Amino acid sequence: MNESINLLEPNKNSESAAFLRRIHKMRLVTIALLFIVSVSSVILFILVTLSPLPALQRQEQFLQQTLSASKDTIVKLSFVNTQADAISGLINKRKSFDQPISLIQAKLSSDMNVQQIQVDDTTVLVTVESNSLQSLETFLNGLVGYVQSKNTFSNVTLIDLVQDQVTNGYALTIQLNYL
Amino acid sequence: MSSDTWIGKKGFRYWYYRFRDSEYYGLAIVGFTILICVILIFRIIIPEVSQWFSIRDEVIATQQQIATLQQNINFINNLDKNTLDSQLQTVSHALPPDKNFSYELIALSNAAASSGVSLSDYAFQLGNVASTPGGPSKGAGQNGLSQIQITVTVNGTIDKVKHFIASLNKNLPVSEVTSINGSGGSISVRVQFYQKPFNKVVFSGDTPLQSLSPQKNELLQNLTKWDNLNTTQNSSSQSGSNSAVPLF
Repeated sequence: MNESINLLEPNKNSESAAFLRRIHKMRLVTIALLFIVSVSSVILFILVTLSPLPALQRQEQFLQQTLSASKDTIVKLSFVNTQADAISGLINKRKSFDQPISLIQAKLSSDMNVQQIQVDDTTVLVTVESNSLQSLETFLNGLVGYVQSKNTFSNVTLIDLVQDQVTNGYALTIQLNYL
Repeated sequence: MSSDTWIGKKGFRYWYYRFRDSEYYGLAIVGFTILICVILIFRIIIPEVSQWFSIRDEVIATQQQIATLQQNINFINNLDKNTLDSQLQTVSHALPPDKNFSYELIALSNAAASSGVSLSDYAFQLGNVASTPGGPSKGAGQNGLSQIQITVTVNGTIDKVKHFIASLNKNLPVSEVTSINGSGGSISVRVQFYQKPFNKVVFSGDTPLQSLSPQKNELLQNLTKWDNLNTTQNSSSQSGSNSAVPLF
């Protein structure tokens, strides 16, 4: 070809070649991208299809059936657990009347006896009788000592002191409140 | 193909070849490929990835459930069924699931016998024992517990009454003395017994089964020691009512 008769500008050809090279590179990049996307799609499809989930679900169902055969044992175990919890709670909150009665008895002298006793979950009402006022005072002071040392009782109230003319004895009624 | 000279009608082929030889053809190919990639990403890859993640989570959850189920099956297989039956019997004696007044009477009799007090002159009062079938008792308190109150007159000294109460505390069913009131050798003791129906058990296999805690085992051992109901029931069924039980 004779270049002298080429009417096109020489620079135009070189610009077009550079543009074509860029296009070619872009084509390669997009084809690579398409390849990657296609391969990823196939791999993901295989991963989803070959998931172990159905087999695991079958195994789980089988184990559930095996365990349901021992339903009675599971129910018994649950009963033992719940009843033991309730029993433990009852025993822990159970109030012992042994200690307050023993504390009162500890302050009784030999010439005194308990005429009446009334114990509930808040108070102890006790009537003791004796021929000796001194013994009754010692008994009362002993109970006041419990209150002062904050041992079981928070308050002692003298309810009544009666003299029996026939027996020449005294009956002392006191009320003790728990801490 | 250069189309400087074209002879004939400028139809589809003309425009196709003209387009193919232009610089836009390459761009169109690139654009079309990118469009395909975008469609693949949004229509296939993203849904597949999210599905794969959800399947993976489900697989992990299922594996954990299988592990728990296997653990539960092993636990049940290794559990001593006789011991469990015995423990169930003990807790049923300690806290009866239904109204069984004979248990309470046996406990009072045993306590009276062991403390040496007499209940022969007794006053017997039953508290609120009404209950709705299939539901919690009318007098049920917290945790579905129902209470049965019995007031019994104990003939004996204060020391013996103390012994009676202590003995009652170490007898089954579990009871609580709520008040003492009396004079001389006759003291009225109000005893509260409890009853708790078995709860409805809702068990799912993926909940791990656990053995009894050491505290509960210790409690059950103590309760077994206090459980005189079996021996009393057996002896009464064998020898009739000739035992020296002061209550009956």
